[in-house]
Amino acid sequence: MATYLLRRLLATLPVLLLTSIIVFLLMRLLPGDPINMYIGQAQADVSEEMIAQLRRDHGLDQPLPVQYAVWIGKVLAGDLGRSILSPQPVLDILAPRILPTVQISLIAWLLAVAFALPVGIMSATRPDSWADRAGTVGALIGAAMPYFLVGGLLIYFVALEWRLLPASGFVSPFVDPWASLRTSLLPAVTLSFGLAAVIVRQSRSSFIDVLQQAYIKTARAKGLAEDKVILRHAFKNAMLPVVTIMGIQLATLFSGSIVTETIFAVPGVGRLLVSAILGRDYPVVQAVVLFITLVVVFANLAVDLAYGFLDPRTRQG
Amino acid sequence: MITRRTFLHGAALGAGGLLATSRGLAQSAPAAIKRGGTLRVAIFADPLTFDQHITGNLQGRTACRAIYDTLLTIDREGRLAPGLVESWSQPDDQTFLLKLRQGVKFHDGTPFDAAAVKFNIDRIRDPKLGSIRGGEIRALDTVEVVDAHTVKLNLKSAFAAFLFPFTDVTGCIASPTAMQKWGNDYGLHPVGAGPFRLVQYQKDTQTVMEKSADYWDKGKPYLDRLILRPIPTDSTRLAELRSGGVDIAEALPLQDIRRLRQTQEIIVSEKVGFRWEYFGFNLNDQFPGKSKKFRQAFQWAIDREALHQAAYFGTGSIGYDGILPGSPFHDPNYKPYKRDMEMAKRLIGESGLSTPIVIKGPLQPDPVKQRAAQVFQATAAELGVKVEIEQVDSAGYRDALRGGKMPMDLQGWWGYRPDPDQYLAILLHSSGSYAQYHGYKNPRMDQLIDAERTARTEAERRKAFRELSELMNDDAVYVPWHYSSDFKGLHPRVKGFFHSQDAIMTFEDIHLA
Repeated sequence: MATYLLRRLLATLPVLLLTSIIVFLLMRLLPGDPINMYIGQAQADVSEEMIAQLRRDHGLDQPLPVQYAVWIGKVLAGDLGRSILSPQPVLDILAPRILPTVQISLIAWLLAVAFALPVGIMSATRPDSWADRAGTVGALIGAAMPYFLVGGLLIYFVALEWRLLPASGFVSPFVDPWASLRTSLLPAVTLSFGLAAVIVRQSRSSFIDVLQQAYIKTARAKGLAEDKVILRHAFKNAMLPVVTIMGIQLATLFSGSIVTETIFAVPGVGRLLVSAILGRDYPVVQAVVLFITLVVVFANLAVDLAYGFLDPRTRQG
Repeated sequence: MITRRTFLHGAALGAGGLLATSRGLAQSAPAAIKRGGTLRVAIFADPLTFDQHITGNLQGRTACRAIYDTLLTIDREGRLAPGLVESWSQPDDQTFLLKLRQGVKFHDGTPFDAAAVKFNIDRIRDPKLGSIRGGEIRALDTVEVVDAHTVKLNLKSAFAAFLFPFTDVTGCIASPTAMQKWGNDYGLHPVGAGPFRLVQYQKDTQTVMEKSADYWDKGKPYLDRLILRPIPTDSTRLAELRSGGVDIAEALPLQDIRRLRQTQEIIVSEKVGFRWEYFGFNLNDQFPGKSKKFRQAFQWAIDREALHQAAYFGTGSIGYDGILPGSPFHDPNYKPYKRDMEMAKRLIGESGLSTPIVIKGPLQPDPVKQRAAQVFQATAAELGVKVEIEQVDSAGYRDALRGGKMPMDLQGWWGYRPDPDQYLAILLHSSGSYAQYHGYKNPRMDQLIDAERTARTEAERRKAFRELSELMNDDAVYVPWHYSSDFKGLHPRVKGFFHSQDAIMTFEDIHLA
């Protein structure tokens, strides 16, 4: 097991390295640069000498391989650099963003699982019933609704018309847990829609598949109660593909947070990424993408380890 | 005869006498003012930094203007008024003497004096800082401390509009002690002499300020606390205002204005002339804009009324030059063009361009500009000109603009500046960056800009600006069509709000009912 873990951890290194090169190059391929963005706000002429100096100050006058080598060298030494558009080290900007994103994603994930698994199982055990059809239609609607539409509707009805929850912002759970939950709910529900839809569909098909297997028939033939058949025998096996999907969906949660955090003005990683890309704040974009890559890689590792629990055949020596 | 010196001196004394204690900007407050309370303001973007010489966006400037006082302010007629400078005079065309307000202290207890003013202005010009404000005071030669409360500014050449940048962040004066202490991190530890001091900054979450107990304008500010909350989505910002989550929201969405005005729940405040809209052309040889007649055709062809209604939902006002409402030089009766498609078609025919004429225009994903671009596209099609709109983001647009690669500019000029010289020289003088991006150079235009800069009276400047507008319209490098508005939404309990022309909010006169 330890060797397996070590091997998997080592395998993340080339992924991170490749990601760092891709994001570094992609940002430079985009038209415009941070200095142009900065001087564009001046509403005054900025001298060419000043522009050249600003580029020099941020190392943007160097050839790309040199810029990359300098940056990655610092990253390996634990220094993510300084933001170009605000006077802060990137780490100081990124660190407080993690909690809101993780908290909202986690709540979204829990909401999605709590809603979607029972619906999926119910649909699978009663195929073609009205409940199954309602679940399928609901899942299709959930999958088809874009975040900005769900978010907009929630803000309009829940925050504005019914005044039940705040329309935007985020309060840390360490400051005020109740307010924190209240500010997290609308973005979490928005995020959970698409996720729940996928889990409903995946768990339904997975359970239908498993419930037709011979060992389930045997269990039923033995006279086991249906709930025991499902929970004790079918559940673990049917969950394998569902867990895989839930791992993959973590990346979707991050991409969803880009939209939801902007709609709900949540100071999370997604919103930071958007503003940094629009401002061409290279060091911030690069750090955020590396961070997201790291999270997704580790989430997938966690999923692989969960397989071992669900299916002993996949356990590693 | 009124000389430039007597005019400016008179203006200074008059303004100083009238406004010495009120800073000139504030709406007169009613007799009974409730003190205290927290004002929550939804802003469009994060301030990013509180270093007054580094900040760029409107929200950074808004935050800085709460923390720092400016040397000068703008009165409601758009003219210079006192701020930290109590009065000023001009002994000769190239010298300004500034008399500073006495007894003012920075939030760290250090005194505001002439040495601090010199330190601040010199800091802007220090290349090591990398301030983008240096271009605004390029005409400045040296700063001298005459005595503890008098500063002398020596100019390289006469410049009538020279003092105007000191009404914004260029004129925000910070504590030299704090700037030296914090160095590169000063932007997060600002110390000014303004009505509020920074107590907490959480990027993209909130900026919290508290009133400065020893603010020089005794009794102000009325508020105890000020919270700026960046909310980038228009509809969310509006929902927060309507649900009572904030008291003021900036940049209200245009499509909602008519409906919001009919409701009683919020007050809609409009200031016409925050932005100047034009269609700009690149005059370089590879683009259709090289033909003057081609450019002039659009002066006659564009349907300004349709643009006003379709793009701006009837808000703001139609405009024919770059002298924005709010400026003392603005003339609402200057309307030199009436739509005339026959004339436009004739000019296109005489343009000498080979057909089919195709022109590309990069455009940012701004729904207002997109609607305007579509109206322009339809008009151009009537003239047989194909306009290809290319979607780019803000950074891509600036890249194309700065590289002189943009065949035409569909974005216009953003942001009011109190003196037209502050942007017209950039757009039209051969040394101006925008003029260079557009390949525009006209010696007569340079002469006119020099003339308004060296003019001795307001009347002389007015005359020069009118001639400048006429030449700009004839050259048609920019085809003006609109002065758009800034909109702010206020909860009815917000009192004492003054909507300034540059859209930057000031808070010292605001109180809550």
